[in-house]
Amino acid sequence: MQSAARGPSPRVSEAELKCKNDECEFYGNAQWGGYCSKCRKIVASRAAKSESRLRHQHDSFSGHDRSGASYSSSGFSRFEEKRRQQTEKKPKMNVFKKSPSPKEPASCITLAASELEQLKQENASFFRTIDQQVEKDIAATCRSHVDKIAAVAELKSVDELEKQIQQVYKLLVNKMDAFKIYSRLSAEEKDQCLIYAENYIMTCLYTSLFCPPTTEDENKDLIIQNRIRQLSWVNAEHLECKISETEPEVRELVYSAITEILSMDSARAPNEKLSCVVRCCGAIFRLLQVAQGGPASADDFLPALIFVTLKANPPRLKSNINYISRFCNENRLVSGEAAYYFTNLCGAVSFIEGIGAKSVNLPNDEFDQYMSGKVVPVSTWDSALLMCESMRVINEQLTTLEDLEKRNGNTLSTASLLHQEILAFQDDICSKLDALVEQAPLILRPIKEPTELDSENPLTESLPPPIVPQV
Amino acid sequence: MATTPDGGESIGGRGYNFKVVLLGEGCVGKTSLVVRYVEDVFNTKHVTTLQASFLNKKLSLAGRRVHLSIWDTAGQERFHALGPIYYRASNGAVLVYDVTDQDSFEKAKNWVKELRKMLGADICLTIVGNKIDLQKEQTVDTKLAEEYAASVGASHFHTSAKLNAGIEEMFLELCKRMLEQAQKEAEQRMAADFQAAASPRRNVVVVEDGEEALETSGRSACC
Ligand SMILES: Nc1nc2c(ncn2[C@@H]2O[C@H](COP(=O)(O)OP(=O)(O)O)[C@@H](O)[C@H]2O)c(=O)[nH]1
Ligand SMILES: [Mg+2]
Ligand SMILES: [Zn+2]
Repeated sequence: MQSAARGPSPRVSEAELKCKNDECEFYGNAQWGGYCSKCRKIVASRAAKSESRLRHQHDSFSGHDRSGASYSSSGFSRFEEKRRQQTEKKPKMNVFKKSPSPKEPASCITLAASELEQLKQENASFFRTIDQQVEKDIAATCRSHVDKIAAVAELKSVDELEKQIQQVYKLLVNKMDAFKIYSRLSAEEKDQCLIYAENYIMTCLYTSLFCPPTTEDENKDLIIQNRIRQLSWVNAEHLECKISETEPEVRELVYSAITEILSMDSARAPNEKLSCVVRCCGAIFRLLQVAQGGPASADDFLPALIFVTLKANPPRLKSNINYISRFCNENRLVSGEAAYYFTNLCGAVSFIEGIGAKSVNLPNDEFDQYMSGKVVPVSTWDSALLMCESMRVINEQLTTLEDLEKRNGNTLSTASLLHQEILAFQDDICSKLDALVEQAPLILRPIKEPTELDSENPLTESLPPPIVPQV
Repeated sequence: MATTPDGGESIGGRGYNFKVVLLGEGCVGKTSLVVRYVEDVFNTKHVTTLQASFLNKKLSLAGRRVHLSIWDTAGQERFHALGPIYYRASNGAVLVYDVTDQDSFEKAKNWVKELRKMLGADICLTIVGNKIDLQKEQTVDTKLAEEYAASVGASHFHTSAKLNAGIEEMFLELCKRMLEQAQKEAEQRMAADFQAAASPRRNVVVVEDGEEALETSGRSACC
């Protein structure tokens, strides 16, 4: 590559990634309409408020917005102001409103409909081999749990939610042991059912439970992201990790490890995120095998994982790790292959957070110079980094595309909903009109013709004779 | 996590799941030990698996099926601080030292102290003096090491990964203790459950209904 000497290019401009609230320092997220989690909550609660205001507009005391003062950041509140005006300008149509409001806030199950459909597709062949009824039962059970948790998700602390979800996982196991339709299943099949149920639940609850605004997750994401940027000069040698930088096969595997760890952010269920970690570690073991001609031990594996994590700088790393630790079935995080890999990822992150001169075998002053960016060590990985950057951009764009597709789908379905509403509204009005017309029928009597007294009309014959004045 | 409250076999009746973590200074032979135990080879180059850092072994003990997950850890000094992340929720730990290296024995003792402090008596400890085939160069006194182990409630073994000596026995004995520990915990839990069952509210534990069971099956469920 000719541009090997250049450092990594900026991928997307900083401003584009930032929260849509101008005053806010956090990163935005497409799923949250470009806001960070905190601002999204505010927007959502405002929207809910103004909607309920609209619904009860004749309630005389709906007026003052007390919450306005606490979020007085100018750009944002201006936007909010505009939004409120628009909602309030809508004509009042309460007269003809059908009793249950059709605009109930959409449940997280409906919102996750396309993801759930995908999950179902992925498991379709498995359920075909056992019993379709089992899938129906699991889905119904999960939906009832999801509804219960979603109702309290905003009120409870993460710790409480964590306990509640773990409890649900236990209940699912008990249910599968106790209920008849599961009795024919083998232990492995039950386990797969359980994974399906866990994924089902968390796919629905992802938006409420990932990086909840009650936690410091988002702050920590920023800190680790900046830290990894600062550490961009760290190379394989510093970590004493046996990655032969020149070997093309090794390089390919490094890239696939990076791609896998990057994909963790777009998965919704903790189990799926965990699978990304497992695939990343699988690639690392393969590359270590190529690099040293034998199976890797923990001494080789951990430094390589640290290296990959540093080069990938995965988005929302802390949020993802905390989300998995809290909401993945705890049994899967205690023992087993995935647990081991995940533990190592936690170890790698913890190591990165605490990296000092000693941990990369450098004298203090040299380390400080690198950290401050005054000196950049020469590294063959500079060129590789460029490629990693492009891969990351591709990855992010794919996620954006996916999101756009989803939103497009949402728009379409909302449009058809609106269409139906319009039709229903029309029917409603028509039937009401019909009813009114029936109540007060307008009967058109034939127009009375003025009697022509002088005509030879036989009708006039029957008239009494004109009154004759009597003198 | 190793057993279900009914005190029987855990994880859908498939047996016990134990996590064992290997700790010790670099080069004392941790990886060699686990590879010898699971794959029965000494040179890691001959291992059939892709990796030699996380290995599983299934065994049957007193009619119980035991599934052993053995977690190797990086021994480099700069990773020492990561220990708690690895030994969290372990049922057992094997602290390995090299019998020809007094320093490595001191490191093993430090691990014992840390583990006892962090996990108390819940974790079963085994101290292992490896490379006993190099007896001529042994510097760590056997008697002292055994006394130390006894004083901290740990077992002590001498092993040689090279000659495949003492390894089977060492893991088997550790498994027995972990099994006892798990059964003890299960009994305690059963007793607690029994007490809870005596309270009328316990009757509402229904598989179907999350909320009810959630409230009642908490640890201190009874009124
Ligand atoms: N003589 C002898 N050498 C051993 C024994 N176990 C391991 N080694 C050697 O000690 C070195 C370090 O072993 P390794 O398993 O990598 O140690 P680890 O760093 O603790 O995982 C290797 O060269 C092994 O061949 C043993 O029982 N006897
Ligand atoms: Mg090792
Ligand atoms: Zn924001």
